[in-house]
Amino acid sequence: MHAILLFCKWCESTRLFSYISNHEFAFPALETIHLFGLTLLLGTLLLLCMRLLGVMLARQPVAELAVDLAPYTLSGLTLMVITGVLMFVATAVRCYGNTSFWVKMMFLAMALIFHFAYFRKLLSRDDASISPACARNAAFGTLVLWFGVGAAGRAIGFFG
Amino acid sequence: MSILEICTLLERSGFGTEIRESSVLFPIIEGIHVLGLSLSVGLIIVSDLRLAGVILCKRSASEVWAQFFPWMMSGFAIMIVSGALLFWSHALAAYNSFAFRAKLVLLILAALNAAIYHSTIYRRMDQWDTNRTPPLGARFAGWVSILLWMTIITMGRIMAYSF
Repeated sequence: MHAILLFCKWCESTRLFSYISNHEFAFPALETIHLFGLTLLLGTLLLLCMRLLGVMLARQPVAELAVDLAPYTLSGLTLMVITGVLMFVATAVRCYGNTSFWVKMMFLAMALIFHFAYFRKLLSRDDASISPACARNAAFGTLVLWFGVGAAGRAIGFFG
Repeated sequence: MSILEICTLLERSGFGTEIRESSVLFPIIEGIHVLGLSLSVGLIIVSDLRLAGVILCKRSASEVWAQFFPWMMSGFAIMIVSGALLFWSHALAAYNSFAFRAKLVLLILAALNAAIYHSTIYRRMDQWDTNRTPPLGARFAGWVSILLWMTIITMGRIMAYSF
């Protein structure tokens, strides 16, 4: 853990840190773009999960929907990661001591592994080869992990 | 009674104070409001992109709309209820916030944009329903909506700084 704290302290000695700290508009702007990313990422994932659960767009093959939505899911994720890293640099030592931040990072690690190692592959399969139980589990896993990231992220500002 | 007096009354009411001062209630309601963006604005943006002729073009516009509508409305119900509770707890701060006023105006503009689209191009949907590229008016309404909702999110984020 000591190495991580040193890294956090180093972050706060960078020019990036000074820039974000010295410009009043910078942090709110990053937070706003982070929310744009959230809307795209969680919105499109929610849509895919609702399709897997069979509650909407049932006539559209899962793979067809996934291909259409993938660029928006990825853009949302990219926006969130870039702004997230910048906000981390600006508050690194505070994040280090914030339990919600670590919970968020654990949810994020699990969500990313689940998404790229499993969920995306499932989405590229034929509808007929996705069993209802499989679809349910995949949707449930995605919703719990990604909304877990979001809830823990919201908690960073409110709880320790 | 003036709007200012109503806002003062709301913020100082027992219920408003309880939400504002609760260490659990306020974060939970705000969390719901933020995560609710996925169901409300998330689905709006995807359906706007269909209107703009960018995605889901293999499906007819009316099919996408019919499937999305009930979910979008549930998303908005979540946003309006959680937003109203947040407003109740900080009504006076919201009244004095430029961002909040701007957000209300932008919400009205988004509603107007939707109303104009629905009373014009939407009525002739049978003529362009299966077109890969919807008519100019529909594409315009789609992009305007996306732009408005991004500004609404921005104002919402900024107003929280005045709380």
